[in-house]
Amino acid sequence: MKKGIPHGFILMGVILSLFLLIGGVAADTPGGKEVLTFAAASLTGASGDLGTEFQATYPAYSVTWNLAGTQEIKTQVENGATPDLFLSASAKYTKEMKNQGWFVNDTVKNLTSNWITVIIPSGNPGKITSLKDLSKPGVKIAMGTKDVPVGINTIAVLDKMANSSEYGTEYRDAVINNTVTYEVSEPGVVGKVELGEVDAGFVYLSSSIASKDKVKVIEIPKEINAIQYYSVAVMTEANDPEGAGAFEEFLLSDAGQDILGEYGFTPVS
Amino acid sequence: MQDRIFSESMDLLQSPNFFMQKSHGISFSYSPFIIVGIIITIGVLLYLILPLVALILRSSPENLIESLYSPVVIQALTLSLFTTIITTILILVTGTPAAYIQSRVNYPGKNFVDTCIDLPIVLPPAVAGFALLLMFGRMGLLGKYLYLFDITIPFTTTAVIMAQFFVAAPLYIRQAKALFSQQDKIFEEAARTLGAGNLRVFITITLPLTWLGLLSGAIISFARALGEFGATIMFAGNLPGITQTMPLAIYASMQSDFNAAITLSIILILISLIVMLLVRLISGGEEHA
Repeated sequence: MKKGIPHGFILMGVILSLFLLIGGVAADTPGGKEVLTFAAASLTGASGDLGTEFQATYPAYSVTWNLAGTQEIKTQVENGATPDLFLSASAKYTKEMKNQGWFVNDTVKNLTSNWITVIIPSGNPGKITSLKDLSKPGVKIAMGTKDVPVGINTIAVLDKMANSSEYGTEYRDAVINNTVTYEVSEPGVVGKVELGEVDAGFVYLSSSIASKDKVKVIEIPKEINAIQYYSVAVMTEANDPEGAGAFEEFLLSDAGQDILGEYGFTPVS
Repeated sequence: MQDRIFSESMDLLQSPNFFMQKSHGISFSYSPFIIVGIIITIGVLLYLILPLVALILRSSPENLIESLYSPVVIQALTLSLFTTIITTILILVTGTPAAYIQSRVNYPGKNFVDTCIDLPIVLPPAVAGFALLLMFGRMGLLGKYLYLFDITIPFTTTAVIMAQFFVAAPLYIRQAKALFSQQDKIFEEAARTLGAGNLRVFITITLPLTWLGLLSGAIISFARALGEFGATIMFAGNLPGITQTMPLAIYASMQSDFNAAITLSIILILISLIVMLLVRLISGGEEHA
């Protein structure tokens, strides 16, 4: 084995440095400053239009989304991710994160709200025509886990039903007994219903509107429903607080609220 | 045998000893090249090991023991062991004949079949799970006919086993196939000359000569099945006690029950370590056989 550095290694070194150089330059290329937004998975449907419309209004910026269950994006932030803006689907998690100092305090605002609804596949394999049918033996139901906001609210709805004279605790227990999967994000539930693999799923009203071609909706009356408040906040450690502020302003403006409305979200007055 | 393995080490994946490389020490002087190499090796080692150390350091013996008794952990552990053992048995029973045929019988398009069998090794598990759902799901290509007979597979423990088999079987078949092809045929031919049939040759000659290698292949498949996540959550869903295996439980309890997630992770790290040690031990035994 010869001593010294073989030519091949020098060549590799040169190529490697070139890549690093190109990478470094590419990362700094302007073309709209990116607002890194971590958002609840249930905002997936609306995210595209929100981003495009924001860019049209504020051409200096563009939006990069990271959409996942609120509990998951919260964990990501707690473990070192540094988004600019945070859109939470859970009042509980928003409060926790606010108390831990993750948000610029006066930027924490209510964004919108969402109700829980039941969707069934368009073929209706479980022959479900009413909420009562969900407790029939053999019905297959999907809902969110007890950590994901949609799952927390589904349980809240079932608890309200358990306390009502019309349904009662047996109803709630039967529905939970019929649950075949606890999905870790809201789109997971929607997907299982759209594919027809479950007979029914508890999702947000916004999702039922987004996939209205593939699913039928059974609405849950307001008095036994649970409302989910979404919030928006600029991160204390935002790389671009101005961009984040601009996007927040857009989301709360009439234009932003209109888009959310189109996707089935209920505005908060 | 040694020479052959060595000459094929450029193509590690082809070698039956893919998972059991023996070091072939060569003498060298400590040139700058070697020293840089050693530094890089230490860097890689630290990168691979330190995250696992960080994970273990986040726990404490009390937490570990306490959460070992939590229902999430017990259910996930039991379900994982049960499904993985069944999967491994199914892989042995079906994978061995498949590997034998692929190594001994020549037919047109065999290379293509080999490639198809290997495909799940590199396929993203989420794709595997989605594909299984579209095949065996209630509305799936085959599943819709099963549904007519009241058979539904998704969201059952059977679905967990099917997902594990899909991702883990190719690893075993690959190893077994290579073992059978590299087997010295001289004993088999001798037995045939003496009038033994194919089955008898397989049982009395081929199996005894390859069983250690097959065993290490089965152990690797076992470990892969145990760690299966993506295909399972897509195809089998997430229901504690029925389809929530250890990796799913880690994911689901990361937020609500951090200690349970860490305990399950540590158990999986330990099992993986034992598996790799076992495979190394077996490969050592094979060299002396």
